[in-house]
Amino acid sequence: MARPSFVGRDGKPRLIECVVLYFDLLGVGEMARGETADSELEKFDELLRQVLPYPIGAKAAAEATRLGASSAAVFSDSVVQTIPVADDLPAAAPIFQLVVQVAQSQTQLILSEYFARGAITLDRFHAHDGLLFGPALVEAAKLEQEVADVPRIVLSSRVCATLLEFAQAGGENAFYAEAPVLVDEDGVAFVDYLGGAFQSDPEIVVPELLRRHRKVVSAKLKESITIFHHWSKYRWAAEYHNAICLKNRDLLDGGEGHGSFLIDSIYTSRQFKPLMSAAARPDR
Amino acid sequence: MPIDTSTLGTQSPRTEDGRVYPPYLRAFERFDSEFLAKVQELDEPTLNVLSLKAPTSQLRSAVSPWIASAEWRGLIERVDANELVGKRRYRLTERGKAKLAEPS
Repeated sequence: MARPSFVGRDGKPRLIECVVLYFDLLGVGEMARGETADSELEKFDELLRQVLPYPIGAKAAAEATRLGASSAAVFSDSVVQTIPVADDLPAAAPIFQLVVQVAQSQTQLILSEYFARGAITLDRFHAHDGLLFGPALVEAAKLEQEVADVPRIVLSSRVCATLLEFAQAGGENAFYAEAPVLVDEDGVAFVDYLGGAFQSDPEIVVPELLRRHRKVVSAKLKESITIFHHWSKYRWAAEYHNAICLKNRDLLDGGEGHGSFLIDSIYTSRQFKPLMSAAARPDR
Repeated sequence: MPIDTSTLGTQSPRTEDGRVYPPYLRAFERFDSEFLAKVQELDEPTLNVLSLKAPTSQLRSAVSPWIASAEWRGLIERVDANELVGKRRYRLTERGKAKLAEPS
């Protein structure tokens, strides 16, 4: 089976079907401007290379593309990761892998105070020799800017439909719809990063991770209290945090009780539903 | 939280804090023989190295969830527990070596 390639036999660039993850890291633009830009760069560089499981840059991308594997590109505060869809596999397979992987990366970024906002799309794309181009990225950027709104990585309607298709069909691939994805009150499906991290990483200590998450989100709420459009983003993160604490209360009651894990300045009313039990409307 | 070792080898491994092996990861157990052999062959590979060396698109699309599944079942372990996901290297546990040695 031929590997999908961004360059045809005639040497011309090609668009191929890909799963594309695009996200912005909130606040990085401000960090890059101030007197601390040098130290921020050092921290940013080290963290991204530890958190992204795939290599960054054109050379790494070329090697990954040759082998049909995944690669990532970083431009200022924006990260793009691509997985070509192989001809012999359902598109749900790379989507599932990307969702599982990004849940862990997003969790680790947030614990280092980098909140990600972005989208996962499925469409044609070209990523070769430093050039990123195509409808999959255009849609992801549009979803990031117009739909995500708060620090969440949303799924395009086609990505949701691809995962759900297998649940409806049943059979051995029905599990794709169990990817760690929640549907928010506005009908937007997004990566359940904490839930995904709990499921895919048995080494995590849940109470410790939630305490660290609470600390970071609480600090951001406090920092942004005078700028409403910043504060409202972290308010969402706090509501998500509280919902996850309540969902996992059995894992927390043994210690101090789940109440001490909640961010108590936030009234918790937001409802998040599993993808399978909600009708997602990511494109509004 | 480490795996409760008394649950290893069962259908539902658990962590010591009570989390249960996610059922959807069972779908990736069918790749055990290929990936366990790769982990042994590649000398403590990262997720990316496993992905690059996976011989088929099916295996490349299964690397992250297979690693999660294998860790839950105690077949592989991290070389350095403090590394984040991008730098994390994996090796076979004794259980993983025994599984690899089983006749297919």
